[in-house]
Amino acid sequence: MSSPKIDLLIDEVLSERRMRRSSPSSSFTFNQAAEDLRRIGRGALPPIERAIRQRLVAGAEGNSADSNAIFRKNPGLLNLWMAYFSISAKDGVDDAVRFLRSLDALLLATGIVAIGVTWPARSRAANTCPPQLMRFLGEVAEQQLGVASSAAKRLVGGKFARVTQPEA
Amino acid sequence: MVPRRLGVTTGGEIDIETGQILVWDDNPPAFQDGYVSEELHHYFQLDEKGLIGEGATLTAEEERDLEADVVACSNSLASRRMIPEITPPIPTCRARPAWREAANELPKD
Repeated sequence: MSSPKIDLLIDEVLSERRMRRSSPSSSFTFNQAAEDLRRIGRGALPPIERAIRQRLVAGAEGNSADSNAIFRKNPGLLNLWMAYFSISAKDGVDDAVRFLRSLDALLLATGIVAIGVTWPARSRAANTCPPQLMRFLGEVAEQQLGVASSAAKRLVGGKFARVTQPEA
Repeated sequence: MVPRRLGVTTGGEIDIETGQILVWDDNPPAFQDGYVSEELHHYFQLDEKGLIGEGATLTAEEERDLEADVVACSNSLASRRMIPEITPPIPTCRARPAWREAANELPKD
């Protein structure tokens, strides 16, 4: 798929323009564009990184201390991150960690929230979170990175505690 | 709160992959917190069953059960006792339609 088409797909994911639901009165929805993006695979990673780095930073202006403002402006951001981690987990976790390291605290915080969403603690998927990401979360939790460190601490100390701590 | 999606009749929604809740900004103010509660209830239902996550899907039956649980309108006697007032009285109308009365007053020839 060409880069402009992937960019269009990313736009659909972020704005939640293509949501699927069983009926107009159903509360349960599913981001169809995000699924299409995941199907592209590794080729979608650079455009996703570009979108996160350029478009979200532009959207965050004026709300420098609030990552929630970025989520409000981009309701499909969690879906986009989920697609990114899902593709990366299969092939390219080290690249994903490198990308995360390059982000400022505000954007990093949105990514860390998305790690907790991609590998939810109650499901079996929590145990499949790549160890490189778990180590990275541990590092961020111990640094002074504001909202990013707080988000990492919540995951490492709470949701992922049973996954990260060795069994007795 | 975000603008309502076209054609959607709910007060809010929950993304079954991310667990993210959205509530529409055009809901009546008095109902807004109630819609947040409804979607939160769905979140806990899904989370408890391990149904939130990438590639999550719901069968029609699962979806119906989850929605029914919110308004306690399952078929169990216990839940019907909890909300007896939810069943509206069956409307009855004995009044004759006005057009029929008018028709009776027409000259018959």
